[in-house]
Formats: sequence, structure tokens, C-alpha cells
Amino acid sequence: MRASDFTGTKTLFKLFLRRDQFLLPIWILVPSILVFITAGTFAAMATQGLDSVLTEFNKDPLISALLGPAISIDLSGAIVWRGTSQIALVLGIGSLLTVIRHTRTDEETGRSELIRAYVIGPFANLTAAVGLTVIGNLIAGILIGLSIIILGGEPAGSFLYGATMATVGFFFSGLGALGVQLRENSGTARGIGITALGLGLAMAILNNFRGGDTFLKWINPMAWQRLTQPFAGNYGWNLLYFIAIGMIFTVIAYILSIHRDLGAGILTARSGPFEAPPHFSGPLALAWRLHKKSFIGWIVGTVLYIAAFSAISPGLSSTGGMSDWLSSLGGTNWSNEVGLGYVFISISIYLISLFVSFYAMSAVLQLKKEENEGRVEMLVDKQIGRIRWMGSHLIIAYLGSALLMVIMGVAGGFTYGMIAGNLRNEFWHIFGMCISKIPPVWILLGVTALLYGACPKITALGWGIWLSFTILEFAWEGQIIDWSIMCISPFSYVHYTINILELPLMPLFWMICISVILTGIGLLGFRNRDILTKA
Amino acid sequence: MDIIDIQKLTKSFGTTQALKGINLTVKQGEVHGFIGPNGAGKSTTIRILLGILRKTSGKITLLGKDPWKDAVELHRQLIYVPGDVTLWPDLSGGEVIDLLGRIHGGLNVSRKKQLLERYQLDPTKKSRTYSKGNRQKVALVAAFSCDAQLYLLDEPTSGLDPLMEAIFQECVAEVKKAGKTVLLSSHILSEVETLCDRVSIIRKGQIVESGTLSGLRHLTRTTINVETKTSVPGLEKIHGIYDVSKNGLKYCFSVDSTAMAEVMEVLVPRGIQFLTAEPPSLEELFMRHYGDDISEKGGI
Repeated sequence: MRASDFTGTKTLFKLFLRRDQFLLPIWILVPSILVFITAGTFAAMATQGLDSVLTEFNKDPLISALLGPAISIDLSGAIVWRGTSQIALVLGIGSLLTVIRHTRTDEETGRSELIRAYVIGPFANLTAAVGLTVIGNLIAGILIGLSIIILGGEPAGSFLYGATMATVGFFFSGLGALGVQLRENSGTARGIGITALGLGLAMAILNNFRGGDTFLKWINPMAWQRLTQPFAGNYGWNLLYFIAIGMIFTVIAYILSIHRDLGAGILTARSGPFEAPPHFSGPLALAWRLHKKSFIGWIVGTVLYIAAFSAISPGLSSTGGMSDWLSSLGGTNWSNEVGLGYVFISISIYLISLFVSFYAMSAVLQLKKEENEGRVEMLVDKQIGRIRWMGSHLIIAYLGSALLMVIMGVAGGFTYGMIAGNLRNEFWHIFGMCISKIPPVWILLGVTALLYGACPKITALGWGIWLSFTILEFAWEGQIIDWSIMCISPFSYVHYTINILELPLMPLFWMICISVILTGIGLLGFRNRDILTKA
Repeated sequence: MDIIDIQKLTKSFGTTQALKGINLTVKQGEVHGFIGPNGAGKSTTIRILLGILRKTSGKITLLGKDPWKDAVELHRQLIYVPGDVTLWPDLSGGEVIDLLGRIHGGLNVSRKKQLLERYQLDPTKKSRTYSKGNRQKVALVAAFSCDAQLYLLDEPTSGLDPLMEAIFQECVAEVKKAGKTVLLSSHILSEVETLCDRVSIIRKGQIVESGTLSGLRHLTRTTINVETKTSVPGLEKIHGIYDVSKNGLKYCFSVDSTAMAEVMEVLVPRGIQFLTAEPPSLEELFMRHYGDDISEKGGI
């Protein structure tokens, strides 16, 4: 390794900084915003004193199953306790995507080829990309520390927590840098990273369920706050361990990067078939082919999560004792009657369904990707009407999202029923909870279809709507807003506080109708607008 | 019958007017060259013909029908090759060709195999690994494996090497022989010169010239090199003669076809020793129309 191997790093760093001028601040700032939001919800709940709320939560079997024991019983401790998963997720996704975006994606599009013809060392690109991400994480960590200090936390613990979160980001930047070396497409690296994030969240919950002190905290960056213990043990030396793991990934990435050609992967490219199979013959077959990989990924993720949640929830019912906050949710004491395990699985299904709507929306937006990247142009001379082309992707989105909920119902129902020892009854309850969420998922799908068809420039508004439904839920749980406002969200009509056996069916029917109407307007809009083409 | 009939077609994107009243007719069985610089409106016109962009005003018929309303029905009879082919990265070239052929309504399998051979394309590679030229080949193999009345080719050979360019020209000649119609938008003037029966030149959203190649040539100048026994006074004063340069008794100039007779009358009495006359190439025709564009930018 010579100094000349790094020639041009500074120039590339500035280029990446310029390209990320809007993206970088988002993932750097959001963790600090999450700190304030978490603090805000606790402040709103703790009218009779934060200590008593936290002590009560800590005793609550459901909450401690999800979040584990609180490390420190004060506001700073509450932020670490409740906020870590979200903050780690944001920094993880931000680091991962930033590294991939400036390495493999640039190679895929041929930009690296243009750059490398100039006076640029072989390590410059990777160094600039990793450097940008590391600096981003450091700033995010410092900001997290300062935010907690502003909220009254002691400085040592605050900065230790910020540093812990920054090393989580470094872990994922290393993983991304390693992932991009493997194959010639960026999808592989993204897949590896997102799988790691998903597994990390699941393992964090498993670790919390077992009391927060299992070997999982060593291998899972999403649980590293349990090693450094900010505001309690303040074991700062553990940071060195985290940095070492991140370094191992990064160093392997550097070594691999000079053992491969630009644009190629360490693993050799697979070739494809000489001819297409006979059934591969229409827009629907093409759409399915384009969605298949991500759909299978979603099935695996959903099944893993629902299986984990439904496996642990029946065990909760015997522990008894529930916080006032939970049992009074929704203003009924239904949750007291049905038992804790049942409440837990209801909430889990409800939350996963929010993510399934995320899938439904991104499936619809595959249309935009096909259009923006110019592939529609290969089909425009064929006998495919616009409605048929757009419809082919919409069918996948509608059926795919519904199928995810059905599979979730079957997997969850079976696991829960088997473990609870009452398969016949419980299976149908869990299955019913899952399929009742299909209509609200389809509402978000319809909104996205409408935006894509009628005003494709503002499809991002769909994500805003998704986010606002999610925020409504948390705001309502935090008792910041009233149920009447919560009713804006279509998910409130299938809310987990409503007994599945008494769920009114008319709203579901209307929601399906609204979704179909929204989609119909989207299709008409698409029929009457210009298709975006390259200049 | 006119396969394509466009009258006073305009298209605006917001405030910019991409097409400012295009008139274009393409007759059955002809190969029609559609030439012009980048951004002149070639692709916009073709995309309106495909029904993916909506015209702002004017009249446009394709095979006697409306390309926007009757798009699906019309697409049974036409094939399109874009100049910048984007493919599905995870699909192999073979899969893309078969898929496109099947969506078109069937492709000729033996012809496909023969074309793969001629274009020397490996269909087992994943599309993401193809170079620009190879992506273009995928689109060309798919297009010529299908049967259609009309071929809309929008700079189809960009990125192809000269050998492949020659094979493309063979393919177009075969299609023409079978009585099909081709609208070929192109930069490569030699390609247009070899293949096209008629040519339309588009510039800044307007057709500036249209006709057969020989017809267009009448409009332009022939370059003449001549050596005479005695000097030719007053040569540069003839109306329609340009760029006269003199080297002893050797003269070089260009002349409008209308002034040709007069020039000869002046030259013959001086005793012509040697004479070459180069017919105007399409290149020059093109330059004549873009000449002011070039001088505006400080070139030539």
C-alpha cells in the first residue's frame, strides 16, 4: 500500500459530499430528532413522574419482552431503552446506502470508469466513500450526545451513547463496503445489508426477551448499547471491540477491491439462459420476474418475524400483571380480558402490516423505476395498452401484499396455536387479524397508484402519507392525540385494540372500494399522460 | 397509400416548443431517411408516432389511424428500435429477445438464430453486462426477428462497429425487398445515402428539406476542379459560383446546379485541360442546412 494508491481521495470526497448534500444531513440529523421524539413521548406519558412510569414499564412483561430491562431509570436511560433500535436502524441504512451508492452503483453506471481514467489511486474511491460515511456517523454521534445533554443527561453517558451509535453505523458501512466487492450488481450488497439489519432487529428483540444479557449482544450491533451501558456502567472500552469489528470488514473490503476488475465482482458473473422459457411471454410474466426476488425476500422476512413473535407471545399470558398504560389503551379493558400474549401478537401483526404496506407501495413504484430508467421504451411498440402494462405491476402489488398477509396469518396462526395448545381456535383468530389488515394496506397501494398515474413527479407524497399513519399510531399510543384524530389512519379500523371477533366489516368493504377507485383514477391518469423518456 | 402522414405537427414540453409544425409523409415500401442534429426533434416525432407522447396540435395519421388512440392496434404492425436501449439487468439477452418477440405477437425462431449468428451476439449473458453496442444488437435482433409493416428505427446503429453497421444495412435492405416501410432516423449520412429512397431533414423542430436524394442534390452545389489553357477572367462574377480559388491555371470552385451551364460556356472557350466534378454528398447537403449553426458556434 503506497501513498499514491490514495491519490485523488480528497477530490472524490468533495464530489461525494456534493452529491449527498441533501441525503447526508437526513441520516445524520434524524437520530437526534428521534432522541427528542422519544424524550417527548416519555414526557407526555409521565405526568405522575417518570420514575414510576419506567419502573412500571420495566415490570411489564410485554414491554420488557420487546425492549428488555432499562439500563438506567431516568430520562436518558429511557431514550437509550426505547430509541436505540430506531436510531441504529437509521444510521445503519444511511451508512449502508451511502457506501453502496458511491462504490458499486458508480461502477454499475460506468461513472467509476470515467473517474478512474484520471489521476486516481485504486483505493481513492473506497476511501472517500467509507471516509464520508465514518465522518457522517461521527457527526451523528456527537449530535446524539449533545441532544441528550440538552435534555439533561450526564455528558459522559451521553457521548458514550453517541459513540456507540456511531460504531453501529461504522459496522454497516464496513458491511456495505464488503458487500459491494462480491458481485457486479449493487442489489447483492443492498440485499446483504438489509438482511443484516432485519436479523439485527430480530436478534435485539430475542436478546431483550431473554433479559438483555445473552451472547447475542456480542454479535448484534443493534444490541451494543447493552455492552457499553451508557448512564449505568459506562463501559467505554467496549467501543474498541466495535471499532475492531468494523475495521475487519473494511480491511477485507480493501483487500478484495484490488483483487477484482473494475465493474466485476469477486464472484464470477452467472450467465443466463439462451432462450426464454415458453411461459415467459407477456407483461404479467415480465412484471412477476421483476418483482420475484424482492417478494421472496419479503416472504422470508415476514415469516421470520411473525414466527418469532407468535412463538414468544403465548408464553407471556401466564406472567400476568400489565401496565395501566397498556390495559387502558383504546379506552376498553379488552386487553385485560384476553390476556397479554394475545395483545402482544395483535400489536405485532398490526406493526408488520404497516411494513407490508411499505412493500405494496414500493411494488407499485417499480412502475416508476421502469419508466425513469427507460425500459418502458422497449415495450412501447408492442401490443400492450398502457392500462395493461401498468395493470401488470398493480396485479403483482395487490396480490403480493395480500399474499404476504395470508402467509403471515398461516405461519403466525400455526405457531401461536401450536404453542398455545389450542390450534383450532387460535389459528383462526391470528389468521383473521392478518387478513383484516389487507384493506388498509390496499388503501396505501391505491394512493401510490393514483400518484404514479396522475402526477408521477410527486410519488414521494405516498411515503409521507405512510409515515403520517405510522406517526399517528405512535402519537396515539403516547396519548398525544385523541382516537378521533387516529381515525384518519385506515389502520385504525382494524386496530389491535378491536377484538377480531367483533371487528365491523363494513369499513373493510369501503376501504377496498376506495382503493379500487384510487387505482382506477391512477390508471386513467396514466392513459392520458406522456410517458417519460430520455432526452 | 401514405404509411405516415404528418401535417403541421407541434409538440410543446412546458414552455419549450420541441416541434414547430412538422410536415412529413412516408410512402408504402420506401426507406425514408430522417436526419438532423441532436435535439432537432427526431425522437420526439417518432415517440408521437408510437403514441407515447401526445401531440400538441396538428394532424398525424399512421397507417390511416390515430397513433395515440389506436396505439395498441397499430403496434401489431410496427416495430421500434430506440437509439439508447435499456434492458432489464437480470434478464439474459436471449430472454429479452424472446419476450419482446412474444409480446409483439410472435417471432420467427429460425430467423432469430440466424440473426444472432450474423450479429455475433451471445444471448446467454445477463443484460447488465452488455456493452452499449451489444444492447443495441439485442434490440435489433428482436426487431428483425419479428414481422411488421413499418419499422421505426431511431438512430438504431449507435455504438455498432462498421462490420455490424454493414449487417444492419443488409437487414434493412431485406426488409425493403419484402415490401415493408422503414423510417430511419440517423446521424450516419453514408447509411442514409446507401439505404434511403427519400430523405427529410429536420432542424430546430421544423422540416427544412424533403425529397429524393437526387432531387435534393439539385438544390446544392457541385465542386469542380478545372485546369485551362488560358486564364478565365470574371469567373467569380458569375451568379451562383462560390469559393473560387486559383493556383496558376488551376481553378477550384463550387457551383449551384442552376449555374452549371453558364459556367461551362465560360470555361469551354478557354480550353479545358483537365476537369473533375464531384457531386454533392449528403454531407454537404447537411452542412448547408446546418452551416449557420456551425458558424454561430465559431467552428469551420
